[in-house]
Amino acid sequence: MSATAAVLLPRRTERAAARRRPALTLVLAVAVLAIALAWAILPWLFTSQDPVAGEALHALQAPSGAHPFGTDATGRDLLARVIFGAGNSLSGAAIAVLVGLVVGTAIGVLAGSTGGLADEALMRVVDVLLAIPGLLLALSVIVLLGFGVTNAAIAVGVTSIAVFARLARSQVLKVRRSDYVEAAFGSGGSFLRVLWRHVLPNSLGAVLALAALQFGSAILQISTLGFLGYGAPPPTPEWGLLIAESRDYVATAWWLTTLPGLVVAAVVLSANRVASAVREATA
Amino acid sequence: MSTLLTIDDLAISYRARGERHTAVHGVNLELQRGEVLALVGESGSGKTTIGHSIIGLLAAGGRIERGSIGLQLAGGDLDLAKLPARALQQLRGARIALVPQDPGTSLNPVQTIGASVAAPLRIHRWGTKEAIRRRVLDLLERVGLDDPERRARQYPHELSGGMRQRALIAAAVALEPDLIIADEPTSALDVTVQRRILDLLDDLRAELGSSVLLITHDLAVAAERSDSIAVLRGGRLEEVGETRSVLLDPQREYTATLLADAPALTDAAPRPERLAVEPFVMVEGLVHEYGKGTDAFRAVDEVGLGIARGTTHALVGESGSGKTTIGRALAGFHTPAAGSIRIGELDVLAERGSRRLRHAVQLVSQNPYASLDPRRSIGQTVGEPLLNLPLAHGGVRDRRVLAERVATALEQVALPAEVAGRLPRELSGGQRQRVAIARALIIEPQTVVLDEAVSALDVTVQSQILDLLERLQRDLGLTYLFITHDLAVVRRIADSVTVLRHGRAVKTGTTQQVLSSPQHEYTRALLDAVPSPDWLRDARRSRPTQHGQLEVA
Repeated sequence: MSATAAVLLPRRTERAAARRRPALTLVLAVAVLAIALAWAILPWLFTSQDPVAGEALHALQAPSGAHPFGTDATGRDLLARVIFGAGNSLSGAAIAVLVGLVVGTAIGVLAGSTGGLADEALMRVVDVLLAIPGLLLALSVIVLLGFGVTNAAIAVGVTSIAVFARLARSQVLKVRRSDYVEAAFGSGGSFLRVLWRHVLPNSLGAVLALAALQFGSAILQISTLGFLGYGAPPPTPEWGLLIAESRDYVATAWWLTTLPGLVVAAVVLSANRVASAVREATA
Repeated sequence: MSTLLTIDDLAISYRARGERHTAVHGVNLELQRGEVLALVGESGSGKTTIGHSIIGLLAAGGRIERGSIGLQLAGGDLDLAKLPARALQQLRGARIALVPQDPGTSLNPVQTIGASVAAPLRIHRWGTKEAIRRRVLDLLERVGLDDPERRARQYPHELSGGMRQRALIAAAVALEPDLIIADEPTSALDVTVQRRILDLLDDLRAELGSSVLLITHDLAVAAERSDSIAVLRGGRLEEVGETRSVLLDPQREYTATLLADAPALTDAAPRPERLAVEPFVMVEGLVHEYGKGTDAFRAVDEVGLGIARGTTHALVGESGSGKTTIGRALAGFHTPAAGSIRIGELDVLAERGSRRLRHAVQLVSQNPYASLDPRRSIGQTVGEPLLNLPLAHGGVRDRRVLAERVATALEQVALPAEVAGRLPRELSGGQRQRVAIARALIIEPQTVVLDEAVSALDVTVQSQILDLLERLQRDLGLTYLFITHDLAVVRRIADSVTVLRHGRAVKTGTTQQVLSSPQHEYTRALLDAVPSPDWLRDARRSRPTQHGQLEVA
């Protein structure tokens, strides 16, 4: 019997076949995220311009064939800066989500699965985190860690720990009460084994959906910190910083704030759309 | 006698995942004024869909494909299938009323009972505020709720299930409708309550001259309460006619199968009495309380019972009688406040959570939809207990051996081996329950606690599972503690019985002793409440009455 081991696993091909064709908006959202990701990994493939050095001669040019997004006050190509900025912004968002997801989920799962005193203590810590406004908390963390892209990302991640922890806890509590978890304990499963086999797979769907949602808002928050001057130092291309640097020219050079702003909005919206798809798929 | 409702060639389809599925394929029905027509069938037979199409409340995606639903009123005839939504709205609550299935969720929790009952009166502008108030109190009294003034002010959570169903019936009959659609009106209620609710519906029908469309999965209820009966299967009409002639002389094999499988209607020969030399499972002085201090609620109060090896002991009682609590204590899921439980030489309470206890007892729970992890394949679920056991004590780690053991376990519960690769949602309720049984049996326990293990299943499936359990008991020498509210099932499967009420054992003994000569008033009330009309039982009794035949009237 060579196929015996395979018999124990769900037949993935049939499950995939049963799935419906994805919606157009979802395809679009995935495409936007894919482009942004490609920008982050291989920026030089998408532009031949230098994102840092500019030619003063070409300062503040409106969008044209040579400079699709126009140029800024020091004559740098804006599209190149947006493309090269993707790396900083997306990796920052990824770090932020990772911090929130890992720490928050760990706290939530621990609280939800052990209950009792540990649950009480952990959730009060989470309450404290929730009581402090997000931006204030992020700024405090940055001040503690020092300025920089990574530290800004970590700071944003810390602010999302509470949300992840509460969601993970509520999901774990729901799954823990289900008959199949009881049956697993009844058949002799140890606490960790049941947690790993049944509780986590069935409770993390919603948490993953939140992670995708949080990715979008992390980009925004990191941009906010960059805008306020707590993130990447100039002249590093970073989306929030790009917009911040251009705010003096809103009246005379609309493209400097509008076009990077639209890129940020498109990526955030796409992340949200993917998040709702993840939620539906795991519901 | 005049006809009230004529359904002609009715076909209904649902849209699911972008495709349309036909749920009802051209059904013809007729309901006379003042009569009861029972729609019976298993889940998925289309009975509820037909009921909902009449009042124009098909679930989202549902559509009437063809056919007509004629309602003959004094003012003229209407075709409900073609009526615009507004016109249907005028009829709902006024001429056609619905008594819903689950009284637990059918009342708005933030509205008082009085407001809920007044709703149809207000919507159809029946009269002044004061007149409606008085009418509501009359209605509440009429449906047998004590102290209507107080009940009208109460909220749903303050009432029991039976009382809520009475309130819902009051709302349904408020405008004296011509047609009452009762969709499984008693399925969520205890038997003694079921009987009183069905009596009330009967009385109101006679008083108002309304017709009732009784949708039920319970053939015994249909037999007892209907004038004519329509048997549905897979959205098609199997058989329709006068209730007595259909049930006494079923023309279709399917109807005969349903009748044979309905536990309340069969006179199963009592199981041969097995001499209980010494009890294998011993429960003594069991006490369990929920809550603490003065608020403590005693769910189980000094209950004791003994089960001989290889026999089935049934725990019977209504909801809240403490039967599940006892079963879970026996399976080691919680520690009682006092008492002792022994299985053979094993002290269950001392062994809580140990490997030896797992080999001694396993639990199969009520809901086959909730007891399987939706993300794990059937093979993974059935094989899991073996992975949990230490190698020295029958545990298995080798994948090939595991797959073989799983295949054997599935074969034992009469499931094909390829089921192992499926997910729970691809299986029917009966198949899932077989999987749950296979999971319990794979580590070869001596005792199995079956907590309402067949209650959520259709009669035919129920009968198959009961057969399976009996076969497994014979083959493997299993001892069962069978928890149920259904006395008909008890008669079929149990050797001995304990009847529970409010956490106390009111009667314990062999099935024959307890059911054939019920001493205790409560046992008699429970037996009386099992719907089972004499004419049908007498007719189905092919053999001459033997000694020990159950006296269920």
